Amino acid sequence: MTTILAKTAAAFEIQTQRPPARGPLILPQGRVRKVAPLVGGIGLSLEQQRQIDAAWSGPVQKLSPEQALLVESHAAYSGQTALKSLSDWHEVLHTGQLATLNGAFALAWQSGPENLLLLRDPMGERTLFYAPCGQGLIFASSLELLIQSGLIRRELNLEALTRYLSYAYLPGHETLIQGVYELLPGEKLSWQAGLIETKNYWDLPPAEMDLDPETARQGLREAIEMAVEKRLPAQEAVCASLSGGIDSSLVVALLARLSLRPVHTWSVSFGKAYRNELPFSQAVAEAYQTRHQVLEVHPRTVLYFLDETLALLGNPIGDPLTVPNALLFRAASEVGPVLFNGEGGDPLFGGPKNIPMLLALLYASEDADPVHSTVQTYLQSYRKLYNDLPQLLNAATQAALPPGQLAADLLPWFEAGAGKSLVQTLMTVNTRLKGAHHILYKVNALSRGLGMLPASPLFDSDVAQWAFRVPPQLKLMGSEEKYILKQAVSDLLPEQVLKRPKSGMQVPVELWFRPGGPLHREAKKRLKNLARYPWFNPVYLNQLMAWELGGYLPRHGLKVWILLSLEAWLRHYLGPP
Amino acid sequence: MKCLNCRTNSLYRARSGGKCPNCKKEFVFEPKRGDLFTDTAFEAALNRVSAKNSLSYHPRQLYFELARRRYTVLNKAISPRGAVVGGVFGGIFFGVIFSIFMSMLLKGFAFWLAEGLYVSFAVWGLFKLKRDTESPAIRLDWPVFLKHLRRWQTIQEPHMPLLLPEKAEQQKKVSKPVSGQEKNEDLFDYNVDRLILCDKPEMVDFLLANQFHLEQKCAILAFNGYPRAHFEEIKMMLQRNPNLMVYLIHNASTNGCRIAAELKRPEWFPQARIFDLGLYPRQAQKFLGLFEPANAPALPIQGLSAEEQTWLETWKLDLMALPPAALLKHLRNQISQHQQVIADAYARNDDADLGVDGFLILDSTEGGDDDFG
Repeated sequence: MTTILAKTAAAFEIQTQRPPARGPLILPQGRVRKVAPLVGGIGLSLEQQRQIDAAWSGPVQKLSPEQALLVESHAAYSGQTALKSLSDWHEVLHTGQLATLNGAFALAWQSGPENLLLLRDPMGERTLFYAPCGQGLIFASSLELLIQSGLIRRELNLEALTRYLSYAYLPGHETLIQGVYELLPGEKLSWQAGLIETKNYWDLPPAEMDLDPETARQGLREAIEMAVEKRLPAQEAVCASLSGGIDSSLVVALLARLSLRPVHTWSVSFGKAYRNELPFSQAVAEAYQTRHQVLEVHPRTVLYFLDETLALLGNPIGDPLTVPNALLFRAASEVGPVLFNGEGGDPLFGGPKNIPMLLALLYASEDADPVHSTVQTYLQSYRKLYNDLPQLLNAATQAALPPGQLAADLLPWFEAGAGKSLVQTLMTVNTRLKGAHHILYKVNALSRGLGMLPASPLFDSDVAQWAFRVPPQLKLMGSEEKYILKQAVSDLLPEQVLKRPKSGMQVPVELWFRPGGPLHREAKKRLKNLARYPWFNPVYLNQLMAWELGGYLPRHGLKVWILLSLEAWLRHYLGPP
Repeated sequence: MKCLNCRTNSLYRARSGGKCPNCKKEFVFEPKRGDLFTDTAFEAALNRVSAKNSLSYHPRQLYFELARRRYTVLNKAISPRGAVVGGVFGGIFFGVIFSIFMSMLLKGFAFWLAEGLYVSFAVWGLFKLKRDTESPAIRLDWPVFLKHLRRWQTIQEPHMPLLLPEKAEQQKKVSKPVSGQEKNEDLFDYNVDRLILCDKPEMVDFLLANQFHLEQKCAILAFNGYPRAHFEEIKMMLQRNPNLMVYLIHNASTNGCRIAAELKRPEWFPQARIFDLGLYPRQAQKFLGLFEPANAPALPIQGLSAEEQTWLETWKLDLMALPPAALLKHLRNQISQHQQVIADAYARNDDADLGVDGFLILDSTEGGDDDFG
């Protein structure tokens, strides 16, 4: 491996694809997911029912007297039994064994004229949105479909707006549209004659402090192998994204071992001018003989596809990787139906957010309430626009917001972890918020639009259960992140990959958007449009584009990206200012 | 002098009672009555140390900023060409006027007598000026600065949230946790790979207040055992880490320059890799006008030239003399670049040179920000 690392660039021929900045994101002859999304309504007036029947045409699974059970699933299991047909699902529902469910699914079941059950999978691999309509309720797999019903008033939810600005995703039930909600992962919603009740049917287990490391290592390894195997396509070629980090490398290593068909892998680069991790991904590709391609995404391409990407997403995600992710799904769709990724390693096994939080608490004032200071630090640790809200939002918007809402959202999570393990609490919060609402949400929404299925085996609920049962000190071992995960796959990955130091590969938004950067002018134009919506302070937006926010690390580029994503979302979902 | 409130310029005689003739706002300082700064100069210094109200800063940093401005103003006052032209014309003018008045008394000698007197005064003045401007010593007394600061706080800005306490010890008091508040049980079970070790506790406060530890994922401690709250626990935690890297920052002083050698002792971090990013006498030329008299007996320090040893006998230079934004940026760049060097060397399978390109310099470059987290 050492020699591979040293020689890769010269010896291993890599194909580079450069998607041009023209044409639509979704190609007319593109792939379509075999399983259609869900839509439906219950308890509606005749007029409303007629309206949704007319609005929802095309490839959807629609709730009707003939179709009382709708399921959108991929690699779904009850225990070790694959759920392949509707009768399998009926059996699970009738026996009520919801806690044994695993895999990606969204489900709607009308068990009687006045009873509807909505279910979302344990980890949040699929989505389900709903909106109360008078006495009734409508639901759909995506926000776009729910709006298509014509029964939604497009009004902005201001509290949700501050959440988006603070996290760069929406961390809970509420969407950016008033009155529209998202079912949480592992949650079931019962509608009964106009009454809505939501309840968790699945939860992450607590740590077992006396769990033997060897048992943990073996159990985890088996769970990961099983999770990969369950998601393998039956006939077609296997596709995977490969960043060169441990998580995606271990998934590729297992695919190469378990799949009988060739494995195709992709890495993203932003051009030669910026730092990249290509030597690592290329070394792994060479080691496992995958058919590797580098997707070279240029700044103009990213901005060109931003609008369409945000339209696909539904809930906005202000992550600069959204467009490259979408282009990767598009590239893979020409090869196979499923794209594997290594997502999940960070939140489940003690990723990079833990150490700054740990430091914040080590240095917290002795007089401060630990729970409150942890909540504040957690909000700040996202390093998005939380600290900028008083300058970014205008006075009227701020006056309309209830004070302390963002901290109040988080308090239950951290109060539950008070006095217990910090790392375990952080993992819970990260998995349930960022894992479900950012990472899994993003890959599901983008892949759906591009006709693909995402496969995130590390986010498998069995893997997650093992991850949570392992004592936190075996996940973050000293300063070594993901220790037990590395132990579990140590025979798959060469030591050089397992022990590689962190490098600085990030999306170069700072260089793209700064004055004189290739996207500065276009970004300025778009943020001028954002300023025309009634909630923002134009002075702040001007300072941001002039790179004049001040402070130790102002992170102008990232903030510009979050706001550009918001502007694209507002235009698509709410209309022009 | 310009009013901070309405930005109106006014003459001394118009500022009756020390108030702005336009908006009646009281001026904080009055240079005509002996204050060293105008309101606008003080405000400009505050703006710089706080990076337009976005960084926390220590009073010492404001002190050095004002001293730097004072040094520049005093030095600017003497332009060599201006002094020569002014001196010659002044001399002729003085000679002519003096000789007109005195010609009756001293006949033809009056002009030369006047010139003689003039030249002696001029030479004396020049010597004094030369001594003052060439001295690298700071020309702002700490008590005088404090008096100015207190006055600013009384009249202009009673609440200065970004201004850190003067003495670090005052800030952190170990007190019993309020009942019902529990710390997480596993706080000391983990570790970090980087430590910033400072020679002064005030520097720890400055870095913590600006969240340097969170951004750079590093512990921060002072050599004298600060912060007291968890000092021993954090130190023991770091001693357990076989991959620890210590970045040392210190004043150019006998005490500061000795720390690097001390850290190899068994009670500190004998196993760690230590990178000295501190100030040394060789960087002092960039900080003329900010030197303070040495306050510790000179001791031989390994690695210093004889010239540097001599410098340390007379002077010390405080790290607080660097403007806060420049100091933070420089430290960040050094540490991030070091991490990249390590990662790149690893990718090349080359572990030859992993050292930092050390030592602080007063760099004003704005580039190098490649943290997009």
